[in-house]
Amino acid sequence: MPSRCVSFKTLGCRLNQAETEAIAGGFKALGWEIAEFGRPVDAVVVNGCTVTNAADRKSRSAMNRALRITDKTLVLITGCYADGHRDALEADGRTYVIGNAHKSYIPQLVDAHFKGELMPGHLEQHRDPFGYPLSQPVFRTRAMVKVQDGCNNGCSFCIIPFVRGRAVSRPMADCVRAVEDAAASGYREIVLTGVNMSRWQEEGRGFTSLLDSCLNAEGHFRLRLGSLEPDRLDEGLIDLMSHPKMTPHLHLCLQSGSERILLAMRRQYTAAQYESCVLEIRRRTRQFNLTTDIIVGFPGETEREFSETAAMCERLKFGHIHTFPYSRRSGTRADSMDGQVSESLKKEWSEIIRGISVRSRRQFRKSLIGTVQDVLAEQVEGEGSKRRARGLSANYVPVRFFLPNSRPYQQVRGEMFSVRICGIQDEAGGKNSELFGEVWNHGRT
Amino acid sequence: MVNSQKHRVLGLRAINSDAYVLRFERGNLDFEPGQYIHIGTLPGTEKREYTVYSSPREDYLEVLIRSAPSGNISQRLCQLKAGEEVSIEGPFGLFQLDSTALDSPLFFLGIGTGITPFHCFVQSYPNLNYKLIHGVCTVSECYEYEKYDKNRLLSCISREEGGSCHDGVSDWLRNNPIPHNAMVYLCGSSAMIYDVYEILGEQKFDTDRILVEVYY
Ligand SMILES: Cc1cc2nc3c(=O)[nH]c(=O)nc-3n(C[C@H](O)[C@H](O)[C@H](O)COP(=O)(O)OP(=O)(O)OC[C@H]3O[C@@H](n4cnc5c(N)ncnc54)[C@H](O)[C@@H]3O)c2cc1C
Repeated sequence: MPSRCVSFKTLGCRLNQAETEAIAGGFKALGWEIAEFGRPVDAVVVNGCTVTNAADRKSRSAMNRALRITDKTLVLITGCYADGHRDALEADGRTYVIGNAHKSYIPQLVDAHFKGELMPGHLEQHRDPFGYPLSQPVFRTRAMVKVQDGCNNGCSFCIIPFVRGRAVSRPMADCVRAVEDAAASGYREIVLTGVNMSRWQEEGRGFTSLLDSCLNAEGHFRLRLGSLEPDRLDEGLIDLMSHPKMTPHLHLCLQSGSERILLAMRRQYTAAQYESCVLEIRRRTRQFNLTTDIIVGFPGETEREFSETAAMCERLKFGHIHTFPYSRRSGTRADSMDGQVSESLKKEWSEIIRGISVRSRRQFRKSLIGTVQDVLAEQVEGEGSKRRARGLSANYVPVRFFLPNSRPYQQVRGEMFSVRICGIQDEAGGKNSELFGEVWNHGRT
Repeated sequence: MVNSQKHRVLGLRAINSDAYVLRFERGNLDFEPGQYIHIGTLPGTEKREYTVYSSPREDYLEVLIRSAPSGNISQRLCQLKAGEEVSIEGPFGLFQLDSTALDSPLFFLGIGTGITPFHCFVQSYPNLNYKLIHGVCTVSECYEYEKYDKNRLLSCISREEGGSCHDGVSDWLRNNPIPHNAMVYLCGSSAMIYDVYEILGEQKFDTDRILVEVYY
């Protein structure tokens, strides 16, 4: 019998991507083929996002596209968008809504459906947000290990606690086993993910203990952290940043450089605390790359608060800034706040922050010229002597390098290469700058 | 989606013309003193955050609510009768007493209903070494002061006679620097908290010893 085919559409955060990856791995393990989204398939999984009203719109449009593929295709919607809109989505009678808590059962559920065994009601009986099989290298060259779900912080702009629920931590032993399994299956890079990972806890132990145990897990791998909230970065964690298996990169969400705005956002740290923590990590960790998220045009933000943010971005020289013009999200506290900022001003401010980001990113990347980086190859392009690969360095910088054709690399994707950085190439009128290099010391690390 | 639980209302105790304490069945809700829950009336999905007022030792849950003028949820909650149900999610929040710092002097600064988590702390931990500074506009907002040790409570009433001090909380703080070994807990408006941060900063107080809960 030909195997069944499934496709995916993922919106939103890295955790969603990690979860799709794991779900796809589950389908593969059950003998399913993975196809590109939009092709005729037996089932489509839309992993939607509801973080902003715009994310809602995109999720809805992905759903509609999925429903149009063929009228026989089974359409499943999951993720925060599904949780927030269950009743409306199920109204068409064709769509299955699988909440975040049951996401990990999607492969078994869909498989059971096609074998005529499906009883959706059964799903509601077991909830395990970490019940994913080990991810298979379906879309990515890195393994994602989910260690935490939900958030209790209650930021005033965020809908996530309402849809992902309260914070839950995956038991430490499970996390370490997942890291070891991923390393044993050949992954050279493992990423720990969660909605608010720094709040991971188990019996009085916090995230630093978890990270320490994962770094000391068996296997030949490097460890990366998905995006992190800056409110629980203790001395121990700062120390671990220079652990030999740790990648010198953090995506620490700053959101604003203004103390006033951070309070209105109900963030759990001050800009001053953020800055001193970053300076300390930089002091102790070589070639440390700091990336962040900034929201501009939060209600009540004036020129004064915005300039505090811009000044902080200039000072901290981020390796990259994801700039988000504040987007109103109904159901959040910020949506009903006074002092909403005009779209044109948000656009203007976003451009300023993006400009700062472009400059500091280039400066950071340039500082790596002449160094040797361990690059995990993700894509291979070209033929023969023009064959080259593109991948990410340990500090999360994209690097392009030629592959010596004398070496028949069986499988370049997912392999780690030692690459000497030779220069920087500007693209898109200087808006993007990419490092290029050459394979060093016969390549593999 | 977060699981909501239905909790039956046990009663409502008016404190003044626009503040009241609402009591519900506890159900199986476990929480730490200082945490808040989302409450909504039924039918409906809209909810608001309310810090739990009662101690986790009680077999009921209480919240202290001030009806916001034309407030959607707070106005509806005050019309509930015993026997009716509300929908509750939670608990959430990180505004909790640090158990390793219970020996330090504790300074609780709250504005209006921002007294709520401190009520819960005081009811939950009997021998706390605390000082509560409560900022209000009028005497009627001195919510259930009999529940606190009167030697530890200081009320700053800005628009009427009465209380221990006629200045705002910030003015009091300027004239009464906080000892550097204290832990400071702030609850209320972000504007008040911002001012207090600035003052404490001027007093070279270590901001790692400050915990905040912003209501609005
Ligand atoms: C973590 C947290 C804990 C909270 N705990 C409590 C508590 O223990 N007791 C309590 O009474 N409230 C508490 N609040 C505030 C509460 O959640 C609601 O915001 C408040 O009850 C108003 O809701 P509403 O639906 O009635 O008003 P809405 O319909 O949301 O707003 C109506 C009007 O009231 C204004 N408004 C909203 N909130 C306030 C406020 N707090 N003070 C003055 N004006 C306001 C709005 O700007 C608007 O103009 C807490 C808030 C947070 C974030």
